[in-house]
Amino acid sequence: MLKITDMNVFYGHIHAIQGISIQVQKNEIVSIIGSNGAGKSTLLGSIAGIIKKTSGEITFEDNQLPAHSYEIVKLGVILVPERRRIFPNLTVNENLKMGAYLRNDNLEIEKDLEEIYRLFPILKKRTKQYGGTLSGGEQQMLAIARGLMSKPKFLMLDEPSLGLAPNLTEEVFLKIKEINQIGITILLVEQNAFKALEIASRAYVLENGRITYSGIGTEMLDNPNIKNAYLGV
Amino acid sequence: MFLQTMVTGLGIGSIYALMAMGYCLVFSILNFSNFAHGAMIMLGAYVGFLFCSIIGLSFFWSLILTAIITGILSIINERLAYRTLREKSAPSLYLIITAMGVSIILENLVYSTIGSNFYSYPKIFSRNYIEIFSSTIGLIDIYSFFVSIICIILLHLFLNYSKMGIAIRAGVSDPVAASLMGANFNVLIRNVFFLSGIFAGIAGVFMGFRYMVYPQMGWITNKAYIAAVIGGLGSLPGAIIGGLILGIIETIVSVYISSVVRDVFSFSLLILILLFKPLGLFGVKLEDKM
Ligand SMILES: Nc1ncnc2c1ncn2[C@@H]1O[C@H](COP(=O)(O)OP(=O)(O)OP(=O)(O)O)[C@@H](O)[C@H]1O
Ligand SMILES: [Mg+2]
Repeated sequence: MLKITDMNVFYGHIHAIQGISIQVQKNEIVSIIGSNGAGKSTLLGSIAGIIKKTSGEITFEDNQLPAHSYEIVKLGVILVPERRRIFPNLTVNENLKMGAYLRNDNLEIEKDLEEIYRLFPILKKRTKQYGGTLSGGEQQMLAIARGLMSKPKFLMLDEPSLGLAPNLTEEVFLKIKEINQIGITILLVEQNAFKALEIASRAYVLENGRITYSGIGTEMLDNPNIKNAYLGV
Repeated sequence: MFLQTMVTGLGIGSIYALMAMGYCLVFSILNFSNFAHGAMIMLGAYVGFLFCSIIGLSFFWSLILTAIITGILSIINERLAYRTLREKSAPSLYLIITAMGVSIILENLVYSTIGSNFYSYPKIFSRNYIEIFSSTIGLIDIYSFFVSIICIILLHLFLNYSKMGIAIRAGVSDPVAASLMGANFNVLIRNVFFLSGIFAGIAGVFMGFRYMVYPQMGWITNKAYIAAVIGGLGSLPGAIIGGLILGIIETIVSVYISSVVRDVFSFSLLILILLFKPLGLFGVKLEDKM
């Protein structure tokens, strides 16, 4: 569904992504794990069009991805960015409506809102509250929900468990599975390598801008090198 | 006397509020002082004069058409002067200097084509004043007050209930996140400049009607800046309240002290506020940044 070939990204002189090639098939959950500064967010940002790649090719359903993020969103490729980036001055309801910005099917949007509130009951009680006043966990749910409101085909999540208590992390991962089951392909970036590998059909390890391992998620859980470096065993 | 002072103050204040809102809209999304806003107000006064006096349209239609024209001019201003800088992510100081340049160019353009004559609008009401409780109340004050109120309400509805309005507020707080939702930032900016131009045009027509039309009348935006600072830079409700307060204070000073010290008073007020309450009356809390 999504295919990246030999992509390079520079920030000035910093070579953040160094010739990466990855693929994601339809209906998969693919995880990318890696330590701080490995280039995970840069990778997702380049797919979403908010970071300009220097070279390489990204295709989605066999077509080149367009240059601007607003055109990429139209194709159903959605990024839930690192640190959530909820609009603090918009209410929960308005944040969700922003997620549906490119849609014109108002009746469907109302239905999807109901559906979202069913999936994230926490949000339903807070529709009129400003985004900036939500707790971290609530903001994370809102960020994911806002991404879903755009009806994605391909959803990228950048560290959805960041700063969440263990029970909330558990809940977020359950939601991710649920979202995948309704037919949305998922590309997940996580610090929580154990959870990320457990949930993934396949996974990549990113180190200093390069892919160093790739394989089946559950098999990687048993790989001694990965255990050592990322699972702290 | 007091009632009359208050109504005049509110009338002038509501025009300041319009100017301050147009200025504030741009400030809150691009974080720079658009000093070309004054030139737009000046152009609005000329365009309104053209419609009202030369073509002979009614005041109402002159107001509407002028608003649309200055709205479009404001879009062109952004497209030609600011967009390239924005795309190079130039610091806002560059934008401010460019805006000053635009304002100088426009002012001199008017000088060299239309000339430095002062023009005054024709009479629009059969009488200029009405008597209420034995005070003489200027009809233009009432007119400008109600037009401003309508503009404020429409802007409020637009920003809070339309999809584009919500997107503009989203873009104000996080342009990148808004683009991740599919909003094209350039389109948001274009609409903000259109709105800002509309407010400039309406304010310009009222200013021209109330005083005179001449090339340097754009200096009046200083008042918009003072109003915005009183209310708290970047806050729309602040701009409105700031404008009204400034209008009332100025009128009181003119009436009870002297109209000569009016501007001295306004600028002293600006300095005092910047010194002692730099965030203005409304500060800028996240929720009401717009
Ligand atoms: N805007 C930027 N300008 C310069 N360098 C940057 C910029 N953004 C990221 N980098 C650098 O690029 C590298 C990759 O950063 P990136 O944010 O992609 O890492 P990450 O894997 O997401 O890390 P984390 O797990 O901490 O979120 C880092 O060395 C970082 O310092
Ligand atoms: Mg990151």
